[in-house]
Amino acid sequence: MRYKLLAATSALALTIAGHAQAQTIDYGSLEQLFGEPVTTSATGSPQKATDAPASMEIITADDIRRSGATDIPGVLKHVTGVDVLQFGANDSDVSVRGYDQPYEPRLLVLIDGRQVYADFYGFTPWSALPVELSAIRQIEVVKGPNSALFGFNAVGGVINIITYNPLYDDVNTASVTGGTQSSAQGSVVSTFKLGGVGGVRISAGGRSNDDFSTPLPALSDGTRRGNNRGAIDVDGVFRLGDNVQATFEASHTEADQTDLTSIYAYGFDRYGTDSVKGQINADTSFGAIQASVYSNWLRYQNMSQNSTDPFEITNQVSVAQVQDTFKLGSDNTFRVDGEYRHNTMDTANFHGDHVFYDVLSTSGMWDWKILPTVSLTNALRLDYLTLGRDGTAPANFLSNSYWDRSLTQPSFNSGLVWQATDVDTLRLTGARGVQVPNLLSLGGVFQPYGGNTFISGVPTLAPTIVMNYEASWDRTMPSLGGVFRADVFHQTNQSVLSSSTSTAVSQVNGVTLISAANIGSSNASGLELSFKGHFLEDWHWGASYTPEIITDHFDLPLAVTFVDFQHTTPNHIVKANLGWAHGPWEIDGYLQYKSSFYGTTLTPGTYIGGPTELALISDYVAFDGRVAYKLNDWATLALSAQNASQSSQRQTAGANVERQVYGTLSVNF
Amino acid sequence: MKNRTKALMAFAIAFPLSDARADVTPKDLQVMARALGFTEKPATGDVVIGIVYAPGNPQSAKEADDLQKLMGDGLKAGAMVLKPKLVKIDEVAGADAGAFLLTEGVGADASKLAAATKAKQKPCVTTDIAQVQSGACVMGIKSEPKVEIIVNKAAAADSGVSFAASFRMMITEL
Repeated sequence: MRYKLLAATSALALTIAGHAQAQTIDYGSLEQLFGEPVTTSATGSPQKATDAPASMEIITADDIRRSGATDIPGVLKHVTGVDVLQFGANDSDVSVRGYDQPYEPRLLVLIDGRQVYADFYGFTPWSALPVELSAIRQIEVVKGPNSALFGFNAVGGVINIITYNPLYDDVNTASVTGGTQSSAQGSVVSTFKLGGVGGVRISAGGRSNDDFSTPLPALSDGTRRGNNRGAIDVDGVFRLGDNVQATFEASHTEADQTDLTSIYAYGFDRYGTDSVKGQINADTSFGAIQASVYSNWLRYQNMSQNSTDPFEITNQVSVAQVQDTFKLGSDNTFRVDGEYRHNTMDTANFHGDHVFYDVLSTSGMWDWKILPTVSLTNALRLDYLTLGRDGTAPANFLSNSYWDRSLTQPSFNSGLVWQATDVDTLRLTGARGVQVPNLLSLGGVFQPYGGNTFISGVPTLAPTIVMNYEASWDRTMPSLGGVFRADVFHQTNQSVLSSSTSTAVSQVNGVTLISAANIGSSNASGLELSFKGHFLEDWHWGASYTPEIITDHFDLPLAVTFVDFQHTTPNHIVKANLGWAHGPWEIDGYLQYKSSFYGTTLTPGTYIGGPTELALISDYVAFDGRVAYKLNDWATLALSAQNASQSSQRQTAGANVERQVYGTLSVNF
Repeated sequence: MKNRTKALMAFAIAFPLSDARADVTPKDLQVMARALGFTEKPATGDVVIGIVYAPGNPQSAKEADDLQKLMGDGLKAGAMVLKPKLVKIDEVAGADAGAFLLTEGVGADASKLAAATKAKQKPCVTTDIAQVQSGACVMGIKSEPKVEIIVNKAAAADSGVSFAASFRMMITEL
């Protein structure tokens, strides 16, 4: 009998979501067509996730909802190969494959292709991202360097947060959350369709809560205050013709919270961000052309020194980019790209001067389908950076011309993907990524230290060069309803940058400079084994094991470099999840085990900014969970918990995390 | 010519043909219907889809009949509602349809469909990959273990069918 699944006719009677002629990528329709997520984060051209020449994880909207998390790091900590260190109720740092540290600099984070990584300090202020969880279609995690597509700082990995497209998607939802730590949170996402010519989505959210009450480490100058976050984001996509679309985005956020800074002192940080972006997408006979321009403004205050004279920084980055992605013949897809970037910050604590750089970049990608089952992708990028300084420094300081320097760096990504059988896919990849020193290290921090001595960033720092070599095997197991993946990688890091701004002392033209420094090399080798699957209709599960070894070869001790990746990266991480959904119920649980490792902390009895030492973190198991009940077609009630196994737990060398329990009412309208 | 031969040989690796074909499934139909929506300037509203079959071939006839039942009064695919209509291969030249769905087992007579889609400037989709390779049908699909789509560029050009650039990057073209 053909059509054994005739009973599924009723399913077909449902609307098959259709595709509108797309210039911006219609992720929803393409995902429905191909039965798997679609990504552009590997090569810049749209690909099925299983075809991407990179090690990737794609977190869907369902995954986000069922995680029970109330912020993005809470979602990411369940992902294989992603490390999250939670230093406070709202303060987490995220890395890929180890190397995690406060103000993690190696992970480039973007929202719909717009960088939200803060260049001035080289980190991502997660609470200040202008995105609501319910506005996210998927989070794409690229493991390893991807500088050839995204440029500087995409070295440990890339996280590209893809939101719903208001032209194609109609998302209308509101939620209120209350819980421990006196948490109160609200979020609303609403889409307005403008006939057939466009759509606008407005997302807004607010959060207020106490930080943990567990003891802070010695020397922390951060009398805890209430943590607050407010964000609004407006996205519009409009048709300008059959083959042309225009996109406009604007956002604003304010976030105040207790953070662990990169010098291992807790402080109270205030973030304010604004952004505007415009983009044109056109489907032409020359290919898919995209031109975009955006600016990000960030204001940062660290209140740890004293509340009336905070450490204050402003940073602006503006980017203009144009790219064309096209297919030549049947087997070759190309992308060519040109980009200009201007990045500037005022010097702290000496306002009025600026350190800035301009970057001209060009890149290309060639995806060659050698056979229907074999493809070879090569991407190459060249960045030309010119550094500068303006303003009037003290007379006994160096002249601004000392900062007139340039830097040219290539980066590449190569990947061979072989679909060996219907169920087996093998990948071999190699990549070179470039991490530039943050603006503070290049001169943004500037503090007279008496006489001709200054704590100052220096323009002579070299970028960190990250090489990554990797082989992976995916095997689809239809009988188990899942996919097994094995991934082995080796990574080298040359000219690693210290975290402290006071690592080295140098003499330049009679001036003594105390600054960050390049401190040596570090290598990492690791394995990722993971399985995701479904069974008995209502159940799904996943498990992963990721052993990793890092070996540092540093010229200077931890006391002054503030980094020791060899000891601060766990050697063994196990993650597992089990979920059940039936009728109105959804129940999910997540376990994470980390073998013992060390955290870095300020040496007791010294001073803030002073020497650091290692503190042992015993191995631990953490548990997160969520139970949800759909009250009716439009309302859902959920109870979720993070770090639920103990009332407080030592997971870092910072303050112990506390159990966080939330109740959430979500309404779709 | 050499490259085309190489491509066809290679494609057979990915889409192996055999006498014992797998049943066309509802998922195949879903993929075919969705794929039609990725043509540039896709039709909207009620669109008659001609299910082309060979009356003398029991496999083809049954597949056509089952497909018609599966689609019922109409299958909504994006802005289109696909209305099924059985079309004998010998009568395809006179059939009034906005798109064609070619069943398996039509064999060499499928050249009549190629002539019809060229004359009418309409798309054709099938699970019979050999008919795409021969140029009788524009687009072929495979839905298991993962979705693969193949388009015969020459047949598409003859039929006046084109696809968005982003879609072309995700499919195999001959």
